[in-house]
Amino acid sequence: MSNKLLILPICIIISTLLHGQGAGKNKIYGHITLSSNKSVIVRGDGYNKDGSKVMHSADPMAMAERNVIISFHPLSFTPDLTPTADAYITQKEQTFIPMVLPVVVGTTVYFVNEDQFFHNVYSNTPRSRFNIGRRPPGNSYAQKIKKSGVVKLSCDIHTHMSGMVLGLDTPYFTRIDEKGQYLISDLPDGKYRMEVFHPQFQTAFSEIIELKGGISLQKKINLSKP
Amino acid sequence: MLRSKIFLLFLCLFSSTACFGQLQIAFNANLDMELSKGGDLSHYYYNEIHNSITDWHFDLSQANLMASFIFSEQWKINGRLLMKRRLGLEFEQLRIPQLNIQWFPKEKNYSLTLGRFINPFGSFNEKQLSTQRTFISIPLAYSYYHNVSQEVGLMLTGGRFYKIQHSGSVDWGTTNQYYGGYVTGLQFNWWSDAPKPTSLKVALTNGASNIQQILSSPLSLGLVSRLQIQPSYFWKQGFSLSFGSFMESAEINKSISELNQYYQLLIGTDYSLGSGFFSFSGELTAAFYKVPVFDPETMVFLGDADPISQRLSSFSTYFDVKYEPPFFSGSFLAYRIDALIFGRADIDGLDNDNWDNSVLRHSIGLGYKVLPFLLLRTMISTQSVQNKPQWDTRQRAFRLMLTLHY
Repeated sequence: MSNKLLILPICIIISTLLHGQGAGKNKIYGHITLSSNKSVIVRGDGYNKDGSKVMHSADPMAMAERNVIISFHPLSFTPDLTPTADAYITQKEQTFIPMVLPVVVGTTVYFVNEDQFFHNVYSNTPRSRFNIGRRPPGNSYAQKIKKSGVVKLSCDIHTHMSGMVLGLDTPYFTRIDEKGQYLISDLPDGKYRMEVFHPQFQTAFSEIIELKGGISLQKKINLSKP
Repeated sequence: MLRSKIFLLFLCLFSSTACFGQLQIAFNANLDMELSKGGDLSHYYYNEIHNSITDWHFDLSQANLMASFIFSEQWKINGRLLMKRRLGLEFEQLRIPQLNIQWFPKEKNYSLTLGRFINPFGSFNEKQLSTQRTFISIPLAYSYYHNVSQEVGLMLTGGRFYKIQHSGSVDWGTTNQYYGGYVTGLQFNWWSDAPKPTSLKVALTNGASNIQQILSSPLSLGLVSRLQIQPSYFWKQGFSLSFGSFMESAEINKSISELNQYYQLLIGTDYSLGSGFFSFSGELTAAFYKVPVFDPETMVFLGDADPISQRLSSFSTYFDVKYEPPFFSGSFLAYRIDALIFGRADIDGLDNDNWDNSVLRHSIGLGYKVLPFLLLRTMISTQSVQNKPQWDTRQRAFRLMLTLHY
């Protein structure tokens, strides 16, 4: 019996070493500052057809500032890619909420129409095309995200609507909070490519970092449009 | 000269950056290229293909630069610079079809627009760009020239009605609605999002809905309004009304002292329904005119010093069905039936006849969003004209359009 109890932790340690992971769980946190320089010339939302204000949700998750995603892509080991749970995007007040949904590749994303009128969701992103057709209020539709990268979302009925699914090849990611802060506390030892995604800047930051020994690392990032 | 004015205009708008620290310029652009072939009786005013290029023809069709100069949450200037083919021929026509200033009061659900803006009548006018249109051709009510002219009113001779020549060119008449889709004036726009989206637009304009001039001469007035409701989540319905003077002063009509007495009245309804991968949309419009009657044999108006007034009517409708196959994402297949019917003209001493030949057009269209910035559409149409059976297959059209958009 005592031999069996000894073998179990040895197996765990060997397994961990084979995966290149240390025993420590590392923590990385920090603050992301967004450049306040406002661009004078920007791409329009489309043709201003009639002068009525376009409906847009005031939900913070519909704002670009709350849709900055920080991800850590292991370079020294292969992580388990368990599909992300509760992957929902709602269409409310003619807005995709959240504007950016980060998910692990292979996740099924559900689109839910919470408005009192038709919505459609389609993507013309090469290799990730789909079209779910017109969906009535309350209707939910599932779409599997098969590729990593950005899948741009649009609504054929409300052409000003745009959203994104960010397919990731890593389970280590988070979203900044309302103060611009982020925290990931369960990173195994190893080498990573740290990326910051901003819906307007796309991949706005990329850096190789190495974590080991259960350290707690602070990293402040200042994002500005390239 | 026009280009210099356009350059100066944009220079003024850009230089205003210095005056308004918060100015932001949001812009979009698109470029259309078209391959076409038409029947031997094609005509730009009938099927949008000029009769000198009925054989296979490939050319730039139009280029657009749209910009919004956003000064604050409350103030905005919208402009559109358009370069297109003149009568479907040379790619040279440079215009500013839209230029307006908008005011959005803080936390209110209404706005005011002053300048040149989209005619609020119906639902088609707001589909200004090719990326918003299912078909390449525009509906008959907006594109088919009929026997009412802005300069001479109803054109007839010998009891028949046809196109006439005056002032050195053929007068092809006019359309029920201006194909360009813009009017000049002041628009009030109100909207409500809950519980069901509703909107109301009322515009005081420079004339009837078919007027093409940016500034009418003589200065005339028109009123255009549209109410849009949403009875159900799958159904939008619009109701439109337009009334205004449409005759333009010219050498040939200087004998008429009061051109503003002649008018065009439009009453219309439009709808949009859909389910799954199907959508259905269309418009139904009744047009009523009060016009003078011009006799090209004598080159004078009937009644001469005291021209008679003729009341005319016409009805137009189109119905679109669009299917987007889920197994071929980004593509669509569509069908349109389009009709323009003319009422009878009851003029003493002349045949009691329709004042123009009614038209029926069938169109089939295909489209595919090749890339997020590239749209490919093609269509085939055929039309038949009342009393012209020999035209039946000779005004058909094939059009293929590639649209680059940003």
